[in-house]
Amino acid sequence: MSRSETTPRFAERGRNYWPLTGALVVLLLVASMALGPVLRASSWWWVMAAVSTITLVSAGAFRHLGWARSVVPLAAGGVLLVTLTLFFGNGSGLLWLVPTPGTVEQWGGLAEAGMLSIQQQAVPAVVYPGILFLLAVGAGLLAIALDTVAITLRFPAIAGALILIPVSVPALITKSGTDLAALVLTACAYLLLLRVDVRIRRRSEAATRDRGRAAPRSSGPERRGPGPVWGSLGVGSIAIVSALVLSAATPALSDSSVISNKQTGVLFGSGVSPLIDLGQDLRRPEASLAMHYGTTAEDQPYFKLLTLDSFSEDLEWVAGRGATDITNTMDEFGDPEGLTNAVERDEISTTVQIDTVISSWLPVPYPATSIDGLDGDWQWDDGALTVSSDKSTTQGQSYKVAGLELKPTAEQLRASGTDYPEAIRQYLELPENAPAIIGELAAEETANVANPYDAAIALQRYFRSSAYAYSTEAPVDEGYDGGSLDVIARFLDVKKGYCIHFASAMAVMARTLGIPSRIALGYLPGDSTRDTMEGLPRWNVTTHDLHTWPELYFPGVGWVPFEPTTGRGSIPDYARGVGQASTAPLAPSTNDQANRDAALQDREQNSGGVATAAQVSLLWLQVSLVVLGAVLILLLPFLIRTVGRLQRRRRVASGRASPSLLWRELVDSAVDLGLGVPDTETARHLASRLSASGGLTDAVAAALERLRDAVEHERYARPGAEARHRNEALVDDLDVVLASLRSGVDVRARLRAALLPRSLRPEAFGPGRGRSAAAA
Amino acid sequence: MADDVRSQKLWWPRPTVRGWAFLAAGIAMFLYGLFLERRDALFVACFLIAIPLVAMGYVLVRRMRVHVTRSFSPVIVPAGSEAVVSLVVQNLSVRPSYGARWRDQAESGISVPASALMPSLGRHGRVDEGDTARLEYTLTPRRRGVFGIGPLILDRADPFGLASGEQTAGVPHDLVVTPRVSPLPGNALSLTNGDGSMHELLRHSNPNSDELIAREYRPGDPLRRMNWPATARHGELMVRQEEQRSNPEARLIIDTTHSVGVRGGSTITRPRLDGAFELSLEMAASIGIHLLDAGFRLDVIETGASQLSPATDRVRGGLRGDTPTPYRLPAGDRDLLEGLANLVLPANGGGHDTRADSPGSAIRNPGNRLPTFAVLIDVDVREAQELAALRPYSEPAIAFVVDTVAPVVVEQLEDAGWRCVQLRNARGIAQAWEQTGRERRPVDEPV
Repeated sequence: MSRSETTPRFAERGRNYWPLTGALVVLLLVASMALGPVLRASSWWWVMAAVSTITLVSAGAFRHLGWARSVVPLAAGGVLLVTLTLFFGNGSGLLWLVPTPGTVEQWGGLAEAGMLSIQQQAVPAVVYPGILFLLAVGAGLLAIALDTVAITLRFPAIAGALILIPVSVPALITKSGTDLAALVLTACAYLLLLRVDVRIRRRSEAATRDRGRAAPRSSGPERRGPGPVWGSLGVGSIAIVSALVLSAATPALSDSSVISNKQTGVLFGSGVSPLIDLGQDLRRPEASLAMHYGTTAEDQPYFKLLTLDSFSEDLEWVAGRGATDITNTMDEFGDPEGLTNAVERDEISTTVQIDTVISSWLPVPYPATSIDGLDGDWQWDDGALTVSSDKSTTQGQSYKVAGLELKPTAEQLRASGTDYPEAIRQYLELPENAPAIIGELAAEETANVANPYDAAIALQRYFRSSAYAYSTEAPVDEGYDGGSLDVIARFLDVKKGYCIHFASAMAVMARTLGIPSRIALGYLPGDSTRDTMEGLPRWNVTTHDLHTWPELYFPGVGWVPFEPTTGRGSIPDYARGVGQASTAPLAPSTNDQANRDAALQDREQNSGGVATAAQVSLLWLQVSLVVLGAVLILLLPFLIRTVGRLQRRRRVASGRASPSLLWRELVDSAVDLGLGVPDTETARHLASRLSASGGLTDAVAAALERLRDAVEHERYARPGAEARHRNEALVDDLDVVLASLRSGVDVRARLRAALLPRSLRPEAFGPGRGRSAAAA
Repeated sequence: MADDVRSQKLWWPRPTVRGWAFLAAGIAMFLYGLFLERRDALFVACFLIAIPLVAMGYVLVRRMRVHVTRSFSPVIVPAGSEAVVSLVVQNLSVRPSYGARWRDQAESGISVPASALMPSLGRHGRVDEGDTARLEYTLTPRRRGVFGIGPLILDRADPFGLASGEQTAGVPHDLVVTPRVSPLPGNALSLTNGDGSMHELLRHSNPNSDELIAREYRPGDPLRRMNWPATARHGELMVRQEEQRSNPEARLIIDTTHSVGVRGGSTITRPRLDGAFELSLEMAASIGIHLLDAGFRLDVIETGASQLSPATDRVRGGLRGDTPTPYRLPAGDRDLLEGLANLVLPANGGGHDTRADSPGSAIRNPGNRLPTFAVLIDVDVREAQELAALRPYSEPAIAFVVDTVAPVVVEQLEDAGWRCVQLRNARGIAQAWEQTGRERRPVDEPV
């Protein structure tokens, strides 16, 4: 098997490798489609396609021109630079093509911006120029690497490992993993590459075959054409289909597996992103520490990242206020909207240390009056008093927030009225095609209340009632994740969801009732620890504390947060209930903690207990089925052989077949036991050989002789001669002989004869004992 | 045709290096996907595992049905020269063949080239597609012998280069590799000093030698064949024409046994003895062909049991009464070479038959002294005595002695009147032969 001797190790000059280049282009284009679930829109694909095609084709052209092997990747790299200058140089290149220092600077900025937005955005990410640039660079580099490995080094199979890079990106980022359709397409393109490679290899070998005197020569039909098309299609499609079936049928190890927790955010940072991604953060099995803080406030504050206050075209909540005013620097904070001095307040101070959360929004308690110690360039938003930056991130920040702890009373809120300022009226807008059920349900639940505050309390109580259940899984399972109006309608029907559903439902219902509302996204106060932080009790906030809640506007008080999510967070004093809110003694933190733990336990019991038992039994069923199937397949030769033996005995015993069938059984059994039986051996010779091998008792030898005589009689006697044997007796004789033969060999040979009978495929197990392969 | 297919040997398909790599990567990824619960990784893993397996299935199912015709050119090849093996492979299947490789196999001693690509064969019976390919390669057998060549091995492959499976096609053929024949100098006719038995008969029936047709003298004709009356009549040297019809005979003794004597070959290693045996057979083949070409009838005597014409009564050895094997043209040269190709040196010394007759029984025509050539590799004292006993019936009696023969035996033979010529290697064959002629000339030729 020294076939590599004649095939050239590396790509040769002047040989035609265009088909391989073509297959690589197809493979790369198809593989980059797999990025689809991670990125929005599709323009990025065209850019990647263009860059990778240009790079691959240019490498092919240089090779076609006969350039040296080592130069081709470098030259292709040059072409990649030119292409990038053209696409991303923004006209800074010489003649738009040759990169200049300005171009490099431009690219540096793009790359930095790209990295930043990759860290911040969650999937599917909007493809900003920075990301697009990084994608193009990646596609170009991948193209050069593929070309080098597959064509220059002639290892096209290893190109499959490289192509896994773009394919595995969605798998690393999203929970659902890479799209199966994309995988199947990539597999097809990869098979195409392999097929093209095999053809090129053959052609190259045929062209460069050894011309020495002793070399094999051949002359035959010069067939052209695609080769075994149906064979390739058949093999490829059977493999892909069976892979689909197998991968679907493989029982997954259950979630309880210790190593099954999936670390997301390998590429895209553990960024805070609106709505759906919040759900992903909550579903993550293991929480990571987002930040910790110490505060002087009586009740630990919620940390607000951003507010969502209007609807996009597809009825999704978005932050619609537009760009932040860049003059709103940290030097001077604005006043909270609508707050009057009538509301009781405490000055509080909170020291925050960020741990893992990376975001361009800063977690800040509402309302803040000043922030000290921030690195970078941050702006605050006019209405919401949230703090964000388009250049810096929260990574590693440590800062001190001075703010207010507002303590409005229920009476104040109830008396606030509905005299909303003009600027606030925009928070009443609802899309015209909002589902009717939201308004109907809101009206129904607030049928007998007199003012907005009581309506809000009624809604909150409604959501926190036992009719609703907290579940991070149900929305995903039933396909209504998110915060859009359609989702809210669905949620009101199913009555299972998590904070985003509760918050957006309450906010929308408030708007239908004429109360200005918006959604705040941020962190719950978290858990207290025994440590201290600058003399204050330290609180830890984990990624599981990510939360949304509605804020409703009351004239004279401003934006007031509510907590409709059942089992989560703490209900503010003013929102406790109608009338007796101010009188009720409260112990928020401890109470809340117990509250939450209970809720969590409930959730685990509800979804976990029953489901786990079912899953475990299903898993066992699957495992045992697979094991059973495997055992059956392994026993198949044994079964076939045994059934065949019984069949032969029965046929002879019943007289339907002649004794030579028994003799064939004897020969097969001898072959099974590893006693080689040449095809040419006569019955007499075999019988004498078996007798001569020793170990046969007289009775066995006599039985063997009777068998042999019967066979010889059948084969050689005159037609019509009287047979002296009875078939039933012969079957017994056979059993005696076989038992004796079996006892003559060791256990391993016997086991092998039973499980892997050689007689089923004599040739498959190589030449028998004492026979050379050449003398077949 | 059906038998052709059934006699095929088929091996399980095996993954290629690429196939093994796929399986390994697939299994690794399968474990990754299984434990980390990744459906997409599981799909990739299953794909990587499935594709070599499906390829093996493809290779197993798509076996080739071909008809193979094998021929050698030349049919009999001397050791050290080339033989071209030609194979005509015809596709019997209704499907074309793609991507197969072929290699031939041979018994040990013959090296065949590594596998090569086979042209794609068209469907059976389609002249336009061409269902027949012609494969050729050149063999250079180094050693004499009869070697089974074949059957052809076809290595089928799948379209993706992931698996391959071998099968045989056709049946093996024997390639006869004869000892090398070195051309010997001189005219062998000059050896004869007898007149040949045919001439004797003629002379007896027709005593008047004058009536025999005469022809002119040619260099090398023996003096005693001069037709003096015709010479007198023509005024130039004439010889008797009928001498051409005479039937010169010669005797060739081949040493096919080891000695078991005290000073015998027990000290000689087997490889050295094998080398000497090959050398002796080359010498014997050269002498035999030389003599046959010169028109001699050749009696070949083996010292061991006859392998040239084996029979149950020919086990004692030619020196002890077995009849020699005769060869004469036109077919004799080929028969002799084939016979020599098949000769083997027995593994052990070989039991000497004590029921030996006198050596004289090997001599069919005791009254005639035949030129006798012996090629000796390992003779013991007793065999030397038997050879000595043969001396009176031999003229000339020349022994070519390979250097494995003990000096004692050489002396014994020379004492008995044998002319012993040392033979060292195959290059010295012609020289050794020439030596015999030079030494004889002053004796035989009066000039």
